[in-house]
Amino acid sequence: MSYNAILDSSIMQKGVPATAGSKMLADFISPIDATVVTRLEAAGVQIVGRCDVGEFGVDGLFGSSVDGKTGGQVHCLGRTQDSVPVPLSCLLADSEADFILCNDYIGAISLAAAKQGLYYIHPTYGSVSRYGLIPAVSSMDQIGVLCKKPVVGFEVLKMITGFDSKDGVMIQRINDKGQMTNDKGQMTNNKEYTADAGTDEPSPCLKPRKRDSEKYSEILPQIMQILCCAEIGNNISRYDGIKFGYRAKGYNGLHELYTKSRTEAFGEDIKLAAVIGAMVLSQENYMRYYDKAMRLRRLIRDSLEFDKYDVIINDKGQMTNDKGQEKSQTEKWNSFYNLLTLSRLCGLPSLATPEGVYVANTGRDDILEAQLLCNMK
Amino acid sequence: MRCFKDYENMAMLDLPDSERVRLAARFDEIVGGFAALDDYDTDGVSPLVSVLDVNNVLREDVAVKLFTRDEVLANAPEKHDGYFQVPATID
Repeated sequence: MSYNAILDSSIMQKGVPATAGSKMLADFISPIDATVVTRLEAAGVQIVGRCDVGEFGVDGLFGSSVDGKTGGQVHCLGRTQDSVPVPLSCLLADSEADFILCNDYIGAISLAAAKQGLYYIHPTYGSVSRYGLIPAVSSMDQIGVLCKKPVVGFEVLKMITGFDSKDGVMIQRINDKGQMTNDKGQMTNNKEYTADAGTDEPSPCLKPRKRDSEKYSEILPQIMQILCCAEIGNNISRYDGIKFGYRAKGYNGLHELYTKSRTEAFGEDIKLAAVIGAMVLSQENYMRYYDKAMRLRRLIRDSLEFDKYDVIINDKGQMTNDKGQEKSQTEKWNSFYNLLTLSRLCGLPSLATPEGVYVANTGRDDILEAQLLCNMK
Repeated sequence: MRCFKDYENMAMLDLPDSERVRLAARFDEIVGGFAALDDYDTDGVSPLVSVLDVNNVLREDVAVKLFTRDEVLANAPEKHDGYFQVPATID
């Protein structure tokens, strides 16, 4: 069966505008096909449109999208359309597309998807090539699948997963079917894992468990802001109005060309990210903020205790607080969002569904199969 | 002690006053929240630079021509006789 796809405007498709949702790249025409585009086309997928999901995907970093209202602006190929933000669910429903590929490095799109009855599959970091993706936060950038039906999303995931020598940071032991292999290219383990998130009586293996990593939940937003701002600031330093991108008019000298072009072209959240990035990477603040955040990132990853379980499941409808009282709706979504953030920080695959969020371990050779076997409503 | 304007300069921005006031207020609020990290002991913990325990993948050191000159210049905002055009950098 062939599918139709919409691409996030930060994914390059040769000869087609790739704006990353920014005025800075309003006139930028992709010189290459991203590897995911090549793989989709080889699998018979037709790309029917482009969409913007925030400037360089920054929506949600400063808390503005935790309400899940993140929308998207769709520009269908071959016809023009007003660039009015619309909910992702409408974007999919009103087009011929079966899925959207996008880079949700914060988790805000996943949250919005779940709130709108959609599914977002965030792959293991390093399992899907980012060649041809306009970078934002390199240590967390990962192209994922937003879809109406998870079965479609996982089929698409298989199409795009696999080692690509053009991406400098990838898991090398992934075959062209998206399966982890040993050094000889053989499948290492075909053991099946199951998870039942939909029964009235949870199986014993799914009983609620307090995780050690939860002690860091209060500072997850700050860690994300420090790391993301530092990396965004670095990645957007390439936009200077010289080789590509927006160039301001009426400048006096090279320095003013740089600053005026950047000031006029970037939106406020990206400017704020760049300024915070400059601050946390400055000589006087590096150790206190950036280095500290990287150390905490290690502690968080090591605290996940995947020796005791394979999958973390957050059922948003049944969460209680420390006193056993049911959390408010806002608390539930914040907790949901925290788990999505956790998967980005630790490079773990996650699945956001209208019912809950799943985060799977990648420390075992067979876990790419395990995440496919999470049972969903 | 550096202030918002200093970091703004480091980020190669020159904000209009009204925008600076607005962003500086958000900056102060967000950065104020970073103090929460001070409560966590990270002595002896090494920074996690990459979540993957892999080295960078290097291709073979063979010269390949990825783009023609015209393709490289295709997205340039201003060009002249096959070069990127920039303002004079030497008086």
